[in-house]
Amino acid sequence: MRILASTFAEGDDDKLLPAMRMLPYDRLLLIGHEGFEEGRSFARLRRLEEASGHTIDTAAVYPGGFMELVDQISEALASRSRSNSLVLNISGGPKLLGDAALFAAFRHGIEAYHCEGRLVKLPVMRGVTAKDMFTRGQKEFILRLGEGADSLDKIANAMGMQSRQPAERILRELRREGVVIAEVAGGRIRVSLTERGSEVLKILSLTER
Amino acid sequence: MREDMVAVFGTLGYRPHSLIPTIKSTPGVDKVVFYYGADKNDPEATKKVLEARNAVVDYCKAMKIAVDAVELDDPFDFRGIAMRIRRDIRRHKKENKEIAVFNIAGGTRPASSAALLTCILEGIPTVYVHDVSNEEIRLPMLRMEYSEILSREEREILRAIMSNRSRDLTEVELARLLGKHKATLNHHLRNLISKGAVRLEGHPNDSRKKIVRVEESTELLLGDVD
Repeated sequence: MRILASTFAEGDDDKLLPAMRMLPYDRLLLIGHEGFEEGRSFARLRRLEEASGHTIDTAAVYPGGFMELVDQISEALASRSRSNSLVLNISGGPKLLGDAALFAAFRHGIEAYHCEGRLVKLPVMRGVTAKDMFTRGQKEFILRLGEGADSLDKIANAMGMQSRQPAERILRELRREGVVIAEVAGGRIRVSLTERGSEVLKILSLTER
Repeated sequence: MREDMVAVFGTLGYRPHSLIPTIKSTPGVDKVVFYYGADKNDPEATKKVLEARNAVVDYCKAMKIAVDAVELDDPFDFRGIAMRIRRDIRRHKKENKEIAVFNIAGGTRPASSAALLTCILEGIPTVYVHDVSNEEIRLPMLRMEYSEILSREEREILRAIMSNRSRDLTEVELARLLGKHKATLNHHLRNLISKGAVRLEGHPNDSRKKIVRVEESTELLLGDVD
């Protein structure tokens, strides 16, 4: 099934209609703040969708910080994209919601659009996410760190490496990319994720396993 | 190489409070570049935006910080804004100026989203100021360097199509232009189509031929491919 997902708030029906006309879809998924299904705009769209025999799928997000919103939208998109093709329109709802949706689109590699007057396809490559910037070994290293291995020796062990040398090479590469930081403490090399590394881990956890 | 100048970028709407805290909290700012604009048919909005613009300019002048207040011709033209911001960021980078942070809190929805998109593509640290709490939220750096994800051949194909934009290149013509076998080109084209970077359109005069077109979004992307 083709799903058109869109950020949405009361009063956005006119803004959403051009996207509904221009993007082919079977089912509409609206993402908005809690209670958005109770307004007149939603009722209007529901009537239009019912005309084609479909109900509107909804995902309510709760107020919070930007990254909480990104996580909630990510979850809504990930759960629907497993067996469906999905495109995302980010132009509805409050600014924070739209920006969080754009962030989530990059996280998952979901084709995204902005539609305010005219439809603009955004340069999010379908199926391509930040995880594709890393080699298999680098991804494994990040995942092991996420699982709690906090020293280079532990990571090398968890990765089943015979020696520490390949792990050291990966560590150097990831440090250069700003994904991890390393420090020597008590004769051990302690490794931790940077903020960017944590985001990469989140993407890996959502898409790799 | 020494970075001589630290710049703060931002989008601005009605509220100078959404931008000035970032100027204050960034150490050693030498320059502020911000983008503003209002619906020209809405005098009230225009007045408010100009007041906010003047407040930021006055603050920068008082602090002896160089300021570029960039008026957007159309603050609702997502693509135009993204292209403009990206051009400015790339120019700053080329001149070896550090862009410390981009504040995307103010301005119209398209301006804010276009700025966020550019920051993701260019790897610029981004902050958001919450509308209600005025809290400055640093977004995790999510850099999508597609140049590292696309293969050399895919980048070469995109470059060739973009630099021959005025021509309707068919698959065969494109293969000839790049000196590649048609089957090899087709393999790379299929990958680019699956990523949503290019599409094939029927030839108006010959149904056996297909014209290769880049998606509009690829132009925004091309900064990475160059």
